[in-house]
Amino acid sequence: MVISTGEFSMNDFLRRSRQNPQAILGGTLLIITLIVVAFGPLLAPYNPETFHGGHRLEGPSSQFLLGTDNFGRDLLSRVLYGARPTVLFGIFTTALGVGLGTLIGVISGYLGGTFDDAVMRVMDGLMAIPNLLLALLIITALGSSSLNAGIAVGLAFMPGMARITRSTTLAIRSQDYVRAAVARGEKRGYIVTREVLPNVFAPTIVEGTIRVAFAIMLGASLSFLGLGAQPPSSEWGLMVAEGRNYLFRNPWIVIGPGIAIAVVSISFNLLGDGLRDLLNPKVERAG
Amino acid sequence: MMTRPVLRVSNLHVSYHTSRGPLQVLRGVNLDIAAGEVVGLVGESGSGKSTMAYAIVRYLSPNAIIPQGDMVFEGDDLLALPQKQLGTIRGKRIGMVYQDPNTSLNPTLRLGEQVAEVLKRHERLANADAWQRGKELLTSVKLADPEFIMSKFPHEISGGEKQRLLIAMALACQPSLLILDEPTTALDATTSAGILDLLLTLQERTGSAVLYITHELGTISAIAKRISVIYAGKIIEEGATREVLAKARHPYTRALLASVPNPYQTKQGRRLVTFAGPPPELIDPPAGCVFQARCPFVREECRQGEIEVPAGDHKTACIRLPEISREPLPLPHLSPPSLEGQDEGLEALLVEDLRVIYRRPSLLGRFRAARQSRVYAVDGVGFKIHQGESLGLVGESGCGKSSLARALVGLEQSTGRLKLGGRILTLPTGFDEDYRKRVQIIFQHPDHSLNPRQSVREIISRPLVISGVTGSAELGHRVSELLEQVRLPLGYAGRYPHQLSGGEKQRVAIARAFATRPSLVICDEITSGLDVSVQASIVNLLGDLQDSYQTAYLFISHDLNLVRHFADRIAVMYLGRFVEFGEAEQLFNPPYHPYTEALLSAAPIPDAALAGRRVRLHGNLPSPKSPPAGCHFHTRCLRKLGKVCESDPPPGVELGARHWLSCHISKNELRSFPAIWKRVVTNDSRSADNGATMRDRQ
Repeated sequence: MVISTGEFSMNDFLRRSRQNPQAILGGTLLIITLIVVAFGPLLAPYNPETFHGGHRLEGPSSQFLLGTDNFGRDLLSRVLYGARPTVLFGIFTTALGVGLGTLIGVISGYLGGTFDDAVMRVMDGLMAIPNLLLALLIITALGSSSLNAGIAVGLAFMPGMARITRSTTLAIRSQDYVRAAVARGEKRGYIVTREVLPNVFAPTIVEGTIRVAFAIMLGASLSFLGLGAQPPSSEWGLMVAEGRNYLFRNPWIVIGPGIAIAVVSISFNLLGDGLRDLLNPKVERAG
Repeated sequence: MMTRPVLRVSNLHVSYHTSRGPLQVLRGVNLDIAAGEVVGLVGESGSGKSTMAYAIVRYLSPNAIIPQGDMVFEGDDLLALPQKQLGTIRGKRIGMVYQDPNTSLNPTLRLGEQVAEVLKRHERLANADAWQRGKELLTSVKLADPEFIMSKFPHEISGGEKQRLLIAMALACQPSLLILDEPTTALDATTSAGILDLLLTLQERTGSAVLYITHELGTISAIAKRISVIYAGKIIEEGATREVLAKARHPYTRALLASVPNPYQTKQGRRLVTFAGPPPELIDPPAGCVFQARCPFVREECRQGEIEVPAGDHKTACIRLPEISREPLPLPHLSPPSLEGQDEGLEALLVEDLRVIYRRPSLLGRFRAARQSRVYAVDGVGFKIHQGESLGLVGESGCGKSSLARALVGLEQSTGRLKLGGRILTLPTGFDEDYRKRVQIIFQHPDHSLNPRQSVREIISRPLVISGVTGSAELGHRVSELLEQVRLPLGYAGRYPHQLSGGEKQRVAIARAFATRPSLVICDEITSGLDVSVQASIVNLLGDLQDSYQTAYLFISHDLNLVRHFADRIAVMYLGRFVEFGEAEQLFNPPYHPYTEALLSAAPIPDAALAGRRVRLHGNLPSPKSPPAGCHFHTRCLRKLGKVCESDPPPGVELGARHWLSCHISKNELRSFPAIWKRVVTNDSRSADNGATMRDRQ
């Protein structure tokens, strides 16, 4: 990833975001997603848990726009209701992972020395375990629920974020403005919060945005395995898991939530890529 | 000049497409280079000189367009050639060398492969032949042991050696034109002097035409026969080098020459000429003369139409000639030199036996280094700085001058004693609040020393907050006061560093350093990233602040001419130790240390009335991790006496009350060295008109 320690201004940012189609597409998709998260239940034509006895496993029709599942529940309503737990899960876990990781990375990078060595070896150890496996381990210890799945995914993200912010911090630590702060006798707390953190912010935001997509997919995987959200929740991963037995009788049961997961993931990814360019002021000036 | 030109550029326009509209970087440039001729193109940053270099080989960035113009190279119309044929011109018929040798070589390939590649590509040589020919090339650029160098990777050789290798690669196919874009800017003075000598000999031997692009007037006076001065995308003066330097006509050229510090004018002598007004607008340039916004002689007619350039050998794009040629350039306000601090005034800082220990970075390194003896970047240095005095510190990069600066503000692991205001501090600990308040540092690159996410107000007020200033009214007042002192508009308080120019950023850094009214300010190469005209205004500003506050400066620079202009006393440093220490006037005439002699000779002065004697050092600066025994300088010294220099550390030689150097050579012999720079008496002494009057020279 590109580590930008460059400068930032809002006007510049808005002007250049207009020239960045990726960011525009990602941003638009994200706004739609957030509207669904906020107002999904109001938009839904039916209660997501109401059984429509005579309409099991139907394809799309004017009555049920995305068809129905094996209990005759309206898939569109379920997808709309499911946006909230799914997307909020992604954002919450990422915030947790990015927050913890940044804290550890910045402190470790700034202090350096033995403390840094010790912390980073532990992080390396954690990184050696694949994210999903690590999350599974943590859930095994904590028990399965949406909250625990969120904590597990957040912790699984932490070491990677710590690595990235640490390397950014190392680059910033050797900048003359940090040296100037040390020379005039600033306290460590001030240097970390006022000199280093604001400069770590941009690359962290970019990396975090991309990770939201990973978190949603990881959360969906956990729910699929029965370790995250529990029925009758309409969390998208769970919907795919429950529907897979009926895949051949009515593919729509999987297509709806599947596409929803894909669209949200892609929108966060595009936004992340776009932000990376936008937050790096050197990109345009060079071109 | 009668021969047909190798390259003829006529009426060349180049624009860059930007979101605010086309940036007109070159506007109607004419340039002829005859076979075997060395032409210099001088300009400051943003003048379009590098665009010119890239335009000639049609290697511009994708958003560049060439709306009109002609470029004919040996009969080929460069603008009409398809890309495929350009590939056979670049590297084969036109060689190029760029500014930074560290980024011009592929770090993952052995140097030999990179040299051979050029020959295989353009001369279709077989591998073995290419290596053989490569070896010959490296010998021709005076690289000792070419075979050894060819087996190395770029990071294993020095910057000067890399630049020699790149010159060898550029000359590999005997191009008829060689374009050099600031080839010595990234190098030390002593190294770049060697590169210039090499270029001159090679040019004479191969007969290639050379386009030498630079912002350093000194370098260009040493190499080019003809120069063109470029400003805001237009050539504003053109002629034979001697002619232009001695009888500059265009107000810009005259101001530029007068802003270059000349060692024969000291601090008390005069101030540097600076430019007022905004830099030229390139998006929507105004009609008329490009220099109108900054020209002291501007008239209404300068703002209209196109400026016609009369034909002739010395062309100038100025319509007010010849009437203004006798009018002197206005000098910036000259404050009367203060008398205090001139002689033994109150002492600002006393440094005794300062040593800086090399940092040991990695975990593994710490284990290994435990067994090694200690290595010092600064090895037992002591000096005294008086109030209101400027102490200059010169030396090549790697000599320890920046380590010394950082040690004095507690940024390096160091030992020694400091005395400040009657109190003695013993290092490595001992930096207290009072010391930090009274000793401030300004760093080289304002881009790195100002936090990009803090506003100017935040940056300047922080030292005030630490030193106990509270209340937003009081802070605001002090910030405005400081901005005024460094001559920045008060509105800049709300700006962020990226909204400022390089010179403005450095002014903010100066304001920050002066916020606590320090008694000593350390300036670590603070002008080396700036254009000469900006440098002049920064140096003048520092002088004014010194007059107001009796601040002492430790002024570090690799530019001897600048240090001589600015400092009262000068220390010359080599491999962590002072080799000479004396008053600014003394240092420029014998007796001097052999190293100082070489430094003096390496810094070219753009003054036709001065002739220099050539003293060139050989070899690289030895690693400070294993300094040579005896006199550290003996490996490169041209006046080495013999065994004694290799075995015994040199004694200190007192050459007067305030002049000291460290050398085995006897006093009398040191006194007999001939001077480096001599005034050549010319019939025409009109160089005085450049704003630099002859009577200021001693």
